[in-house]
Amino acid sequence: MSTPPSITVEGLRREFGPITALDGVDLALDGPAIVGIAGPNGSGKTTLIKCLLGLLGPTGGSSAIGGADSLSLSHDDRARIGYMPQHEAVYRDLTVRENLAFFASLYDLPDRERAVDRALSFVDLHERADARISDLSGGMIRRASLACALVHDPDVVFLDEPTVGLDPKLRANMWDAFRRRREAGALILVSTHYLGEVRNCDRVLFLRDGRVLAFDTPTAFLDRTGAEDMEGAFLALLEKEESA
Amino acid sequence: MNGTIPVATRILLSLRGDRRTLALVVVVPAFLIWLLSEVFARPEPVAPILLGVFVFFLTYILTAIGFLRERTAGTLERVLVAPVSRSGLVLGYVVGFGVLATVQSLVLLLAAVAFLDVSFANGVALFVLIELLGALTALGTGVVLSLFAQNEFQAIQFIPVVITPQVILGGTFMPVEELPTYLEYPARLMPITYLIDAMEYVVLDVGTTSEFWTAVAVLVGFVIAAIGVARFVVGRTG
Repeated sequence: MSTPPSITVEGLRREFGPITALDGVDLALDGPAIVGIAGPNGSGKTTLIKCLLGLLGPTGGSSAIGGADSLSLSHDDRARIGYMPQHEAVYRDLTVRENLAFFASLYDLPDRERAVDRALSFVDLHERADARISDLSGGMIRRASLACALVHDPDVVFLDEPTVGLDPKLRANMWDAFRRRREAGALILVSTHYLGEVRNCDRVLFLRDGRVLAFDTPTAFLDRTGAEDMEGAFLALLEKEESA
Repeated sequence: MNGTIPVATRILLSLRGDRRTLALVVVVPAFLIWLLSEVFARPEPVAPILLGVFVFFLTYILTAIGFLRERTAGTLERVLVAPVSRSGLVLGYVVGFGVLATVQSLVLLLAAVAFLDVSFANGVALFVLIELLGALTALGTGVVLSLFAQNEFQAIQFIPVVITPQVILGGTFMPVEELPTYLEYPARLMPITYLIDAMEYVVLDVGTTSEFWTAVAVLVGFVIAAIGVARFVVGRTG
């Protein structure tokens, strides 16, 4: 990779009619890390990710990936980005392997078959590689979706609620997988509304009503608020803000 | 064009296990043509209309639903984040559904010969050309209208609003020239009017060669406009 993975967000605003989804978000990330975007439903997590990816245009401010503005990402900029949307986002009529081969074919990979096999191994789906998506359980579909996001070995990865609907064991497996990607040099943004989960992140961005409530490490949040878990920390931060 | 071949291949691969859609493409047109041949004592005069409208109608349904699914399932966003050009993506749809439309045209060709006693006065090649132009116009229309639908039901709701008036006014029941002026002008802005015009020339040798090529030129214009609009609206940053 030419430059280390990085993300910058400056004064990002996005309105949908009368609703303000993002209200002046600032963020600067540099180098491999797992960064959680946490907050209740409707706090702006998905909008932030979509603005970063250039899928939504901001109504104010700007964002960039690897120094390139989100609205003018080049072919090479896009080749280093992995994205797992909130929806299933895989083709139900295709097998797991065919889905991976399709997404791999959108990138100029030198050895596509090897990339597909590597992604299958990463999510431990080799045994069901030739099963149609429509024949898989919800957990397996999420794993297949994650594999599609990683098949081209990206170093900036956006995962929108990747663990939603998964049982605790599968969730733990997914977080292990995210850690392995970080060790391989990736910067990973993971949105979640399971506040307890963000304990797995290196740093956490708490969003509320489109604004940054706080951005720090999980340990620092617990120390600052005296809470026993991240859910308690979030509530304490909310209370503090409301009383301010 | 980056993404064209993978997208086209994916569309065709998805159909492999989708027997209902395959039946819609291959079996249903032949069955409907047979059914109509049983109803009409002299089916040949209505053949151009049936042959022109069927492909338009079925291609609209396939592309509108197909693209809607792509959008609502989240796969479209994933493709748009990849290094794929918007033109490559739309062209992939054109190639994928173009192959389907060609298959459908050949099925209709055989069904028309077998059941409607159609002789194709101006040749089979022109028939396939007109079918493809009709299908590509329907494809662009399907992609664009699907962007205004939130679910499959809403995509189907466009049929009585957008397609049925074209069938009614486009020459199915009476020549466009005989319509009242306030209906003739809208009819002249609709692709199905030219589709039926061109098909009447191909099948029954109705009209002159220059009128036929005018209809072809207008249909090519509709194809370029429909695909151009689809290219413009697909993946436009919201």
